[in-house]
Amino acid sequence: MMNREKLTAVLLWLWLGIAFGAYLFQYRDMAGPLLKLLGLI
Amino acid sequence: MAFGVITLEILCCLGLGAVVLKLLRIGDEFTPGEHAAFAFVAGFGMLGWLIFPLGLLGLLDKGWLFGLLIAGSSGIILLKQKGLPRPTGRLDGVGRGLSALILTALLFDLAEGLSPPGDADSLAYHFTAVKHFLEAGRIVFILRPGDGAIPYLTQMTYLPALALGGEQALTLWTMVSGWAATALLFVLCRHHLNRNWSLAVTLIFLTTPAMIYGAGTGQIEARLAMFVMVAAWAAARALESGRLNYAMLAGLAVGFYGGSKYLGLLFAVACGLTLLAQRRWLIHGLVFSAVALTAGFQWYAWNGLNTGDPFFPMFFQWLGRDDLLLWSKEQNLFYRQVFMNYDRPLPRTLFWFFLFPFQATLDSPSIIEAKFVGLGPFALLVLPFAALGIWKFRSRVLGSRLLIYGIIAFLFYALWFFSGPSQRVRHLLPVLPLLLICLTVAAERFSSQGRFRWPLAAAVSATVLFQMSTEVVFSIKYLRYVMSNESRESFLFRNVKNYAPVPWINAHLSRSDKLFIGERQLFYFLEMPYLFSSPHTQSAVNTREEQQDPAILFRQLKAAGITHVLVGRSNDGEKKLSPRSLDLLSHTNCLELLNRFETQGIGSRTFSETMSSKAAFDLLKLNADCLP
Repeated sequence: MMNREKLTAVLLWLWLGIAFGAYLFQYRDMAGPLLKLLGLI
Repeated sequence: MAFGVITLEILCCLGLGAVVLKLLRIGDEFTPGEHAAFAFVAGFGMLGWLIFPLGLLGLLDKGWLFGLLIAGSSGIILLKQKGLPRPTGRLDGVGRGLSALILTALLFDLAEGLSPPGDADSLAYHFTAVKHFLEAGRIVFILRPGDGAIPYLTQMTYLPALALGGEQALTLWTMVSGWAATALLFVLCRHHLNRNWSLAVTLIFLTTPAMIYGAGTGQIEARLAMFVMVAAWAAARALESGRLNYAMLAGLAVGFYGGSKYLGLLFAVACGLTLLAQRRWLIHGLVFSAVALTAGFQWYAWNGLNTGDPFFPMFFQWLGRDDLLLWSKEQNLFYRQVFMNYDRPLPRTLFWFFLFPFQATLDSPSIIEAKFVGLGPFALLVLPFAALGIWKFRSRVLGSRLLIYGIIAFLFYALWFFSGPSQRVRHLLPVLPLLLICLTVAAERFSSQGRFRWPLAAAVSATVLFQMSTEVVFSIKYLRYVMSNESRESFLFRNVKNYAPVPWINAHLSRSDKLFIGERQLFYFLEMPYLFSSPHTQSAVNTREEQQDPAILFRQLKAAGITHVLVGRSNDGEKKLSPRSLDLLSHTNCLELLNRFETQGIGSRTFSETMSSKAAFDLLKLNADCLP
């Protein structure tokens, strides 16, 4: 059984992944303009 | 030349601020660096405040402004040279890495500072008002709500830069004053955090999207953050020590904020209420209010004198004058009903009060501009760390200076959300430093030992990686300008929406003409009088769609002294020009087509080449002798 500290750490990592993923998701339509700006397409 | 002027203006702010701190007898507890940071803020506000009377007296010329800078600079002899230095050692690897990233961000800012201005609001009023004042040699009243008749204390500091060093000094000055807020944040962080963490918070603030967007332009929020930090620190010190000097400094900073933006009034309430939570609440409250009033009253008096409403257009319905050509009570009602609600897309309920920060961070309505001009992901990422830290150390929270910072920031947010005129997230940028300090200290204390260090380090790294990438992408256009032979004109064509007509108009129209124009981002470049044609911001010429009579439009244009009209042309449908009355008038001999321009409607300055669309504009000459 995981101790409390380890469980908290896992939950914090999980939060980080989900929250940052959700934050980045709003920029999904920017991939095209970004690649074009950088001269990659 | 420009760098010389900026150096002199920096010295002036430091000098004036040193005098203020000396008069308030605040500074014994400062290191020289802290003293300089606080002095700059106090001096920055004082400089803006002192230029107002010069402007009233018609003394806005190079000689007087240069004299003011020289006189202010003499105060630097009062800057603290030594005393209470904090222990400093060599930076470790993390510290060196963070410093290198900060330096990189500053270099990107420098590229922006060396480029021509391109931000629409700056070109519509932050820089344009200052340019008008200089041309007139005095402060002139600009009767336009939202971006005309507003407090200008911060923009007054742009005047010496523009007058003595030209446009380059103006953009460099906004760069420097934006940096000053970041430097002050580092100073405040050092009271609670070690050097590496302070550098991390500094970097996060410096690269916050709203900072990247506005700090190097005429937008004032980054500069207002300086006043907020000084006010919050001084209020906290007043509560800790019971000394009146600190309440005075808090009042001064709050007054400077109020003198720079109407939202400063809400901040004054937030800061003032916090200051009252003590035994000497009455005397502190009175002194705080009196100083804040003295520091911030100028532009409200100016508005009141010219419109009857010191808070124009908030109370114009009841206090406004009836003899104004450009603004009536009926127009005021229309503005409040149509325009102001447009800026508040989310309901002002308790539910949305708590949900707003998440909505704004993750999926905001476009009008509040949080996607590109937001506050970044850091607060969201460290929220659980900070919450756990506050819970773990809850016994230490009460009586902490950070609690004062947190209460001030929370009260301001509450007042802004429930009574503010707009929900644009960048208006919260001034209190972001307080939030960053509170969240970071709580998160750092919680995670300083054990296995929580790494996820917190990952939160910082993810934020820095995202924001630095944003800074790089944002700065490409400036780097290209600085590192190539691109001309100013070419830069403006690429970065300013619908810029194309400007060179022709300036070459062919004279100061005796008057242009009717709906493109506010072009105001800064125009060398002749103009009237903004938006139906929301003036009542002299009715351009609302329901007014379709071309004869009425013609009479109103003539009465307003208009000689030319610049208007967008649509190629779809029967109506080519908008509003309908103008389209109908264009079919008579009252309007003569002088020129037609192909323009670029830029949706984003950063992605100007991919998020833009072609547009067409007609320049029409009004034939004053015709019969419509």
